[in-house]
Amino acid sequence: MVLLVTSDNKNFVVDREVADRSVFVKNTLEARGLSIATPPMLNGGCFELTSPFLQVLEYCQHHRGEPLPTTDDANADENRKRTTDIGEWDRKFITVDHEMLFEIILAANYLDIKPLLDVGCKTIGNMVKGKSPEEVRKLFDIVNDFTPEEEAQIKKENEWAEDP
Amino acid sequence: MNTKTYPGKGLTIPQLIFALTEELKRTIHSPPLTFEEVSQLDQDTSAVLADIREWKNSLVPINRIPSDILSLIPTHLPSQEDRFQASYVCRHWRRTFLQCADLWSELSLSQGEVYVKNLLERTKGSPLHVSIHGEVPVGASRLLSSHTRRIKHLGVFSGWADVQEFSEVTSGPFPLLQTLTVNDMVNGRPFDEKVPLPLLLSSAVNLKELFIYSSEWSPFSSNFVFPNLVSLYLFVAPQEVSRFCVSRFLDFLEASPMLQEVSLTTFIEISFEGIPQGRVVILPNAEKLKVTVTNGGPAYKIAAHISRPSARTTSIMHKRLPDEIFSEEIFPTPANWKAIVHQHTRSPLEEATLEIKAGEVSTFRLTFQSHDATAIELLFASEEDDDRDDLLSDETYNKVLTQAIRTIRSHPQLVDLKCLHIRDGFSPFQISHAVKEIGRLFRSLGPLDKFTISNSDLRRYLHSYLVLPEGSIERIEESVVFPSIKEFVTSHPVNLDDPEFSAIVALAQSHHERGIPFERVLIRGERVLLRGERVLLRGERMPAEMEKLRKWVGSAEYCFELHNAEED
Repeated sequence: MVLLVTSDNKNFVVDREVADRSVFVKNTLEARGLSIATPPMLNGGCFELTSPFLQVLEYCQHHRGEPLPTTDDANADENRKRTTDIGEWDRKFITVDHEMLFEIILAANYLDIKPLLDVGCKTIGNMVKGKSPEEVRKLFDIVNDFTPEEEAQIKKENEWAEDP
Repeated sequence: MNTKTYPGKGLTIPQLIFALTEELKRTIHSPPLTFEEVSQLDQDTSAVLADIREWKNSLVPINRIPSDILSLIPTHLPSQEDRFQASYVCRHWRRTFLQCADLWSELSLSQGEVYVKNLLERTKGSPLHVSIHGEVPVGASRLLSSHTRRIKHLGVFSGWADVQEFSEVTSGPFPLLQTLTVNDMVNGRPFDEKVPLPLLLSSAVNLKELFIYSSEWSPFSSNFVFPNLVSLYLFVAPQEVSRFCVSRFLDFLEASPMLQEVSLTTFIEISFEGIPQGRVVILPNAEKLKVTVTNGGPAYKIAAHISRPSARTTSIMHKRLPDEIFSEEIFPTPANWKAIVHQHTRSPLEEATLEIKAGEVSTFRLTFQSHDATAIELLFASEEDDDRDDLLSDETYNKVLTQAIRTIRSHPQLVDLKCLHIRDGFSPFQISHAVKEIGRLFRSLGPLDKFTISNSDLRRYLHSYLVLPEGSIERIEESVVFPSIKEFVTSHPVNLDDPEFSAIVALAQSHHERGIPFERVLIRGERVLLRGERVLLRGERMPAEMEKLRKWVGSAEYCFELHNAEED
């Protein structure tokens, strides 16, 4: 068993197999020979981990024991990208509000859980797929911040980028 | 709110904007400004406004994601068009995505010179996925010619002539090229074999995967040599004249000794002309071989020429469409079969499965598996055509069955066989022939650890033990003698009050009397689930009829398949 402490001082006791889904935790434990890991400071600020961390733990519990992705197969990595397919369980798991989705992505990145990071990025990819820039802006509360000159440049680019 | 004071002015940004607004109101008409001056003002304020909006965008939740993670999002978009659209969302996204060279690696030459030029700039030095759809502007090809070292995947979706043209304009080298796809199924221009050419893409010495979908496959064998090829997928489409020349195919394989996976699918007649007797090409690393021949003759003959000492799976499929004349050679002759097995694996045979299905597509599938999970699969699939009645007649079915049974019997390692599974979905035809063949098969077998029978009319197997009213089924003189079996399993529903169950009891009794009793018998039954009943298998009382069977076997089990009354 492993004790994980979040930045807001919440303790989580989990199986080693579950904790090892995080490469960050795995490496920390292996390097220090400890059973306690304290993840959670991000960008120098306090990262309220408890809520996304519970989600991340649920993910790790579900995928415990599965082989971790290796970094030495560039082709597999390439194939993993260029797709927005998500397994059924993962799809249900990641059906959360935007705020939580971004928190999960940040946590997955920080804790180095590549498959979860993929699921998060693919989910946003699915939201973006087939949408116009204006539709994407609406979706994520982004405003058009291009100057008229920049927009003219984009329009020109759009002409050569389109199918002939 | 930002309260930082503007350097040298002693005002905060909001104060400055307020002051600017007031100044504008005061001076907008007096003194009068020229059109150019107002335009300049407009431009300047647009720029300021854009900066403020960019600032605002930096505070929305999605842009809290660091740029290196944000740039992962479009890598999951399968379409380049979507990636372009994503780069138009806001300045931050645009900057981030344009920095990410990998995002722009898909280069369609047919989209013209400007496109290629811009994308080549964006990709910096990263590997390229180049595709050619139809005619390519010369300028685009020329631009690419100095970047051939970066091409990792090349797809030509228009024809051999374009491959030819491409290899003339951009002669390489292609040290990074890993995947080459040629698909001339749509709008392919004919390949001009008369033009003397150096080997197409001959400098692609590191090519690993080759996919060819073509109705004109000859350029493939005579113009390509890829010594480090690992996977070959060749799909030869139907055409009027040409035949698939196995000799040239073998030549190609011989020049690619690193192959691990070979998949050949042809829809044209295969020709074995010019192959010396006993020619065998050795592929020491080949793990998978799949040969599918539709309307072209016996596929197994190709496999007999390819030695695969590292093979994991060999799959040989012979598909017959309704318009194909029925070939006499469906499954391998014993000599060919011996060669195929010998060239596949030396691991002892563990399991054999015979699966027969009748229907719109009738199939005979044979699977031979070794203890190390290496497997050979042979399939004959015949597509039926309801409008014609000269297709797979009973007689033809019988021929195929004879060949299938012969293939099991003549497996060179039959003596090692431990498990036999029969999934028998015969159509109701000549039971006497089936009984004869199954009797032969059983006589060839040694003791089995397990025998499974499913989806069958058990009369073919148990007719000697069936007690039925006179004339109710065809009486057959020949009897089926089962080999010694440790575990006998029927995995299709058998009712305990059916004559089939009585016949199984009689079979068990006969084995007991022969001194080779079944150690375990598992009968699958079926029972209608009573309305409201929730109890499933656990705790179900064993039916009394099973006692009859228990007398003759080590252990007997009966499991129910429960189904709802409504379904009946």
